[in-house]
Amino acid sequence: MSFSPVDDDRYLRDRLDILDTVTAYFITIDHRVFDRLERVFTADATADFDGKAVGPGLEAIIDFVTGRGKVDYPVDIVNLQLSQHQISNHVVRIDGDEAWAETYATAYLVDRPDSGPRMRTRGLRYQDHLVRTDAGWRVQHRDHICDWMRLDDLESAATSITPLPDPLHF
Amino acid sequence: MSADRHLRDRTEILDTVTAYFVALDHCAFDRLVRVFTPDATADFDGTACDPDRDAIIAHVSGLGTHFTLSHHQMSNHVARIDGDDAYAETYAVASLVGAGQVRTRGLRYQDHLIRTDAGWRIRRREHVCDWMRVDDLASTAPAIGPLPHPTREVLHA
Repeated sequence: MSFSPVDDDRYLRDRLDILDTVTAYFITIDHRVFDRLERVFTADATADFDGKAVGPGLEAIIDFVTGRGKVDYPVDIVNLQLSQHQISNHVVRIDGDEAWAETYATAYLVDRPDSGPRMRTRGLRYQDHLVRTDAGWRVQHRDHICDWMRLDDLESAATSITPLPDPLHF
Repeated sequence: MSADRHLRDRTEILDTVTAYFVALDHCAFDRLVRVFTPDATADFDGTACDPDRDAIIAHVSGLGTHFTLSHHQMSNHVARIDGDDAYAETYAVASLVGAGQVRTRGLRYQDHLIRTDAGWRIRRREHVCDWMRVDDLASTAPAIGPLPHPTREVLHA
């Protein structure tokens, strides 16, 4: 299989659009505007969270991340005071109207279980298959992998996340 | 708008936001003029800083005196451009070292930037700290030195 950009301008635009799509996932779940996951996934998308299959369909993914789904995930990622998902390594291969990416992130999950306030820090990798649609690049399948998790004592935390400014809504 | 101009704008906006962290960590506070408009205003965790760029620079360089070094790492960066205005949210982790400890802070910056003759500059910044942790240090460098030449020219763009 050979990969060759059509031209530099289109390739750079595709790379930026793909990065924007992957970043939009983190912004959406941290700001808890879950209906906006439409900006990230195709309507028929599937996902796998550490071996737990989710989907097909955007609604199934939204149900999973909001805890309404039937999938039994062993880590509580739903009842949070706030979360920050911070992106780092991002590698992408584009072939025409398809792309494959691996993106690292660190998730900081702040919550207050019965035992008291805590923060869990998780080292994540997302392996995505994206497709070019009329609306832009979208994730058709995602594998979400948690490589490590740590429990931290918190010095302090905000009670909730500040809203996304209006011009940044998508 | 051509794809080329959009890409150029997005890159320059990212460069401006990044220059803030690099200038801060290298204690090149005078170079914060490359980041903010002269009439810039800012809020730090809901507390308004005195208006204009000189006051913002004085505020952040004053914070710097509490630590032997700071290390800011950016992550998520989203930006929307509307003509000569742009709006961005940028996440970062700040590691602040001093007195045998490192304070790790999860930050978000919400910026309004404008296109000026000198390039994109921040006119309004809201800085929020979502979480903070304190850990004992295993080791640290004594300080962060200046950017080497010619890399340091990025702060003079």
